[in-house]
Parts: sequence; C-alpha cells; structure tokens
Amino acid sequence: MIETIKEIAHDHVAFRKQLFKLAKTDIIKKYRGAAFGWAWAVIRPAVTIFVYWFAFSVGLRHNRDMYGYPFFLWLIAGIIPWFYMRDSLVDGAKSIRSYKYLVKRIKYPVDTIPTFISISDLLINMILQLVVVVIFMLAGHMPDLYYLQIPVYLVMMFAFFTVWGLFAGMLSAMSKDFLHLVQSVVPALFWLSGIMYDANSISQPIIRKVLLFNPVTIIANGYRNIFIYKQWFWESSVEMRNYFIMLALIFVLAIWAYRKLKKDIPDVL
Amino acid sequence: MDKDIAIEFKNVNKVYTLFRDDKQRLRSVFFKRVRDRATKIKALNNINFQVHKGEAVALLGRNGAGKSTLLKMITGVAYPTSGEINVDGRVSALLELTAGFDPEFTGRENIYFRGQLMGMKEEDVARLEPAIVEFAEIGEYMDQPVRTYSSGMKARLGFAINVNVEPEILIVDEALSVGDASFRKKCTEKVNELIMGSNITFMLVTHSAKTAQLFCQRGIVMKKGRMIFDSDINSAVEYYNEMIESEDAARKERRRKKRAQKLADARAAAGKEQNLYLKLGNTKLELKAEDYKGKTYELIDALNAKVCYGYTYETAEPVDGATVEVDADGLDGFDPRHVRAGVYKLWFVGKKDDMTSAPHCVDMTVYGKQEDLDE
Repeated sequence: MIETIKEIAHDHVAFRKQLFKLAKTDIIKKYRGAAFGWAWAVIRPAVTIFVYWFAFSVGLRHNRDMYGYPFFLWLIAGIIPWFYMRDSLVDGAKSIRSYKYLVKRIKYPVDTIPTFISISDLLINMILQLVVVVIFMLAGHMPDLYYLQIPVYLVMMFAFFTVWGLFAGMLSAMSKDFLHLVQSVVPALFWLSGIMYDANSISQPIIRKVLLFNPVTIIANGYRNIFIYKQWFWESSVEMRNYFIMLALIFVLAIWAYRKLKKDIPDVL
Repeated sequence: MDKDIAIEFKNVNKVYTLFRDDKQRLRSVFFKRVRDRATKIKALNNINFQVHKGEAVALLGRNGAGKSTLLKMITGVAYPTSGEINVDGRVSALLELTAGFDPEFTGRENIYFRGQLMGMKEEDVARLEPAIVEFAEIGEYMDQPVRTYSSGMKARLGFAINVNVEPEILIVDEALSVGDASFRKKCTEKVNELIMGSNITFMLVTHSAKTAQLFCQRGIVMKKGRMIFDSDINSAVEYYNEMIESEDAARKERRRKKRAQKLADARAAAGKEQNLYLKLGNTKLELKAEDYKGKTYELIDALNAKVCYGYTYETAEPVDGATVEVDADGLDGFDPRHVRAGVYKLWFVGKKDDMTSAPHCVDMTVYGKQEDLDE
C-alpha cells in the first residue's frame, strides 16, 4: 500500500511537466475542429442552465428568492461546480480507455492519465466559475472575503474527483460494463445531490444525513456558502468531516484498484 | 546489475488470463474464484538472458512464440507475471508499426508530443525535428492530423521518430518491411548506421533470416514461450530453419493421417443408410438418409445450379459402386446410397444447343460426418 502510494507520488512528480502539457492538449483536442471551437465550453453549460432555470422558474413557478438571492443566482452557484463533477465522473472513468496508446505503445505512467484529464476538466470549469463571479457582480453582488474560500473548495473538489478518476479509470479499462454503469448513474446523481434543492433543508434526518455524505452535495453547498449563504467552511464541520471520510474511502479504493490492475491493463486494453 | 549489461531477464514468466466475456473480467477483479477458473495461457516460460551494451540480437520464432511479449516487456508497456526485468538506457521502440500517435494531432505535433513523453526538452526536439521530417518523407501530410494518414505513412513517421531520437536501446518489431523498396533501403541504412556508429543496443524481431543476418551478431530462437537456442546469428538461423522445416513436415504428416482416418471412418459406414455431407466450392449441403431413401436424388435441384444442364462425375480415387444414372429428361441423377466419402470431380455441362456455358469442373467433397463438413 505504502509502496503504491510512493510510486504514484513519484510518477506525478517525475511527469509534472508532461501532465500540464497533456491537460492542455486534451482541451485543445476537445474543442478543436468545431466551427465555434471554444465557444462550446460556455454554450453547452449555458443551455443546460437555461433549461433548468426555465423548468423551475417559469414552468414550476419556483420564483421565490433563495436566502435573499434570485433563484437563478442560487442555481448557478451550485450547478457550475456540478459541471466539473459531472465531467470528471465520466471522463475519469473513460480516461485510461481513451488514452490507450499511452498505455500500450509508450512507456508512460498510467496512474497520471486520470490526473491530467481531471486538470483539463478543471481548467474549463475555472473559466465558468469566473463567469459566475462576473454574473454576481452584474447583479450587484460584489466579491467579498468569503470569495477567498474558492481555492479551498476548488482543491477539495479536484482532489476527490481526481482520485475517483484513478479508481474508475482502472476499473473501466478492465471492463466496459463499469463505464456503462458510471454513465448511467451520473444523471441520477444530479437529482440525488443537493444541486436543485438545499440538502440542509430536507426534513427527514436520515436522508439529510446520508445526502451530506455525498461529495457532490458537499461541494455544491460549499460554493453556495461562498456566494449565497456567506459562511466559512469551518462553520459546516459535519460536511468537512464527511468529505474527508469519503476522500479517504475513495483513496483506499483507488490505491487498491491501481495496485491490483496495473499489470493487467496493458494486456486487456 | 553489471554496468555493461543493457537488458537482463531473470526467471521471467508471463501468463495471460482469458475470460469468457467482459462481465467475467469485471467480476474477476472482485472474486478470486472467477480468476482461478479462467483460461490461462503461458506466453513466456522461465526466460533468462542478458544483452550486453552494443550488442545486436535477433529474436527468431514462429507467430505466438512470445517474441512480441518479450519486446513489450523490455519497452515497459507490459509487465511480467513473475520474475525480474532490468533495462538500462533510453529505449526507443517500434512495436506493431503504428507506434503510439495521438490521432487528433498533426504529424509535427506528434513529434513534439512524443519527445516530451520521452523526457526530452523542447529545444532538443526542435533540433531533431528537421531530420525526422526529412526522413519520414510524408511531405504536406506533416501538418495534417495523423488520423488521415495511411498505415504506411504512420509507420514511416514512427520509424523516423524512433531512429532519430538518439536511443540507447533500439527495438524493432517487423518494422524494417515498411513502405516501398527505396524507403526500406533507407531504413536499413539508417539502422546499420546506428548500430555501427554508436554503442547502441539493438533488438530485432523478424521472420526474415536475411535481415537478421544483416544486422545482428547474436540470434535467439523462441518456441512456445521458451528460449530454445541462443548463439551466434548464423547457427541460430540454421537452427531456426531446420526447426521450421521439421515442424512443417510433422504438421503435414499429421494432416495426412487425419484425412486418412476420416476416409476410413466413412468407408466403414458406407453401404448403410447414412446422412451425407457435401461441399461444393463454398456451398455446403446435407443429404438426409430419409430424403433419398429408395430414390435417386437430384443434386442439381439441391444445389440450385440452374445454369447447368447436367453433370458427370469422376472420382479422384476409385470408389466401389459409384454410378452415374441418367434421368429420362437428361438430368444426371445422383444416388447417395452408393457414394462414399472422398473427393470427386464434378463436371458441369451446358445444354447441347447452349454454347455460352462452357463445361467447368468443381471439386465435390463428400463427408460422412457433419463435424467434418463444418471444420
């Protein structure tokens, strides 16, 4: 176990330069070739947000303000980090499969593939987060001290979903079934996490407690702490504790999967 | 490890585990039982050898002898199931011709990309780029995405990169047969220059004894995952050729025996009412005993061979009781009761007044068992 952790850490340090190059090229590859190119990075989430806003505000007449903010602002504060989480859940699972040639043709540390995929998704999401800040400013809410927490939640989010990528990427490389499983669970996860509603206000204590173990809920709440609720991260200690429990869990799973499957993956891909 | 040694294998084994399907493979991750039940294939069996720096070694062996598995392990893209592998030096490998390009990048971008992955600095790659571009000879395509390349172009670019990045260990798997004659000559010259000029370690997998003798001083013969011969190149080539010859002869003999056995089986069954299985070209036909019982079977109908008017058949070897009956309307009949297993020549003849369809001959094989037909 310790050996495996050391190995993974060593690979990341030794290939740190390539990691960022690969992340960059991954983004370029994703958006090059389309006529609007980079615009898609913004258009796609904008359409999604519009659909949810329309369904809830216009369709379901959910027009009341959330904690003194318009529903639209409350929505984007939580849904923007979700876009990263959604992408990295799926892209992480696909990562090793989609970079087959790095596994089979070149000597390259497989454990760093999910990392640069995650970096690539995060860089795109950081642009979107910047757009959120601008929208809040346009709506008359200037940045305050709470915005200093953005890097905290950014790192928390990145850490969990990158480690997830290693776990899911290894398993998906072994079997496509696992990839299909992930792809079909992700949309459900969206509705089961507190993105379209406030998980803290659920009245049934058991459901609330379980939901607060969900890293997606924790991160979405975190971003709303910054933009809406105006709270510091140490004020939601239960969620912080839960986050680290979940991180430890996924970390152990990822190390286990990597150690167990590392030798097999070049043979089965 | 000795400083003088570039590649060292110690008791290396490689076992491939084959699962029935994807689901079984996923389950095997969690349940040891599933893994134990799966089919195991031993690709490498207790391999021990050393290659000194500057040596040029040829690996000879039939398909499936484990040569490529061995090279993959030296390159570091596959791991041994057990045993130890030590490799000292920068490895540049050409495995399976299309050597690890990102299909979305242009050829030029792939050069830089590969250089970075090999741990080279950008200015080093820039220094080598003109030589690579010139060597690859793919012209305008250099700035097109690699996915638009033909397999020959990919192989050429791969070759150009791998021989030009100043490798310490060069591994070539069948890649010297890339492209047209002039490019092959260029590759051969370049490899020769590398081997002669510097202290490069070279490993070559090839089926061509001539290529092996041209580049290598040492030859290793592999068979079914084992190293069975390791010596200077000329005796290795000789050993390999003899092995191939004797194996081919043995295989031929086995096949002949099997066919004789089948014929004997069918003979024993002849005379009884039995199902017959026929093969005419690609057409397979089953004649059920109850269908032809007591009557003459019209093969023409069964084969739907409407263009043909009639046929005769002559046997490749004399068969007792084989007869040709002619029906009243001119069609030749075929009485399966008297036909035994064997190979027949079947002549299709056109109508007397139809000169367009010339007579032609088809081999008809008659089997006594369905398994033989499906084989």
